[in-house]
Amino acid sequence: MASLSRLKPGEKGRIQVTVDAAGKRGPIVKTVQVYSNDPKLPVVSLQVSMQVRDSVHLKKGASAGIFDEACRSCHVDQGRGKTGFELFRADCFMCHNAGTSAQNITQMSKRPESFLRRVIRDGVANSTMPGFSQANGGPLTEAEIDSLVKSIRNP
Amino acid sequence: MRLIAFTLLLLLLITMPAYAQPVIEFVEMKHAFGAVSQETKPEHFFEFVNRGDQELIIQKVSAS
Repeated sequence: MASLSRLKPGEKGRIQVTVDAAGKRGPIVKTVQVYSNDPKLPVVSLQVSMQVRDSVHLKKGASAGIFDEACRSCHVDQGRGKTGFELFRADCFMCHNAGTSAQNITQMSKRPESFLRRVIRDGVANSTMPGFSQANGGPLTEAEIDSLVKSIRNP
Repeated sequence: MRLIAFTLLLLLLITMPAYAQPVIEFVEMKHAFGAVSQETKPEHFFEFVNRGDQELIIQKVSAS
């Protein structure tokens, strides 16, 4: 809301915009219309934007802990006993969707098998992609990684 | 003759804003909060100034 509704020539004012992020998720854009007696610009649109994250996912690059107790119910347990595309849907899809932070399955399908196997096994340094192999503390066996590589190559 | 008329019109257009009018001018019209948590209520102040030479009246502020 405006701090002053009548301003003399040269006087400054401000419009306060508050957004309640509770219960929201993802990209949010809010616009506010300011109506004044300026004949040239009777309505001014102000815009605020934000990415609302729940507190669990607020820290970027926090994927190091995704195999830990707090995260495993979503990031590990749903893929248990699954292979191939079913496993992809359970463990990979949450990031490798059409999003911007990770490549989608169409983009990945063009990569060589050896590359895919290495990335799934060991992850990518300085990124949010962790190593999923059991040697790296992840949940996947070599056979499961192999099934993932095959279903990514033939989506 | 045409040139004179054109010049007068141009002069009129240039000087028009100088006639008594309020002029609202915002420093910025967009603001990006970046990543925020669900527990917060991000708040921002949009600053503006009356650049005209008549009183500026904010009649209504509505959110959508």
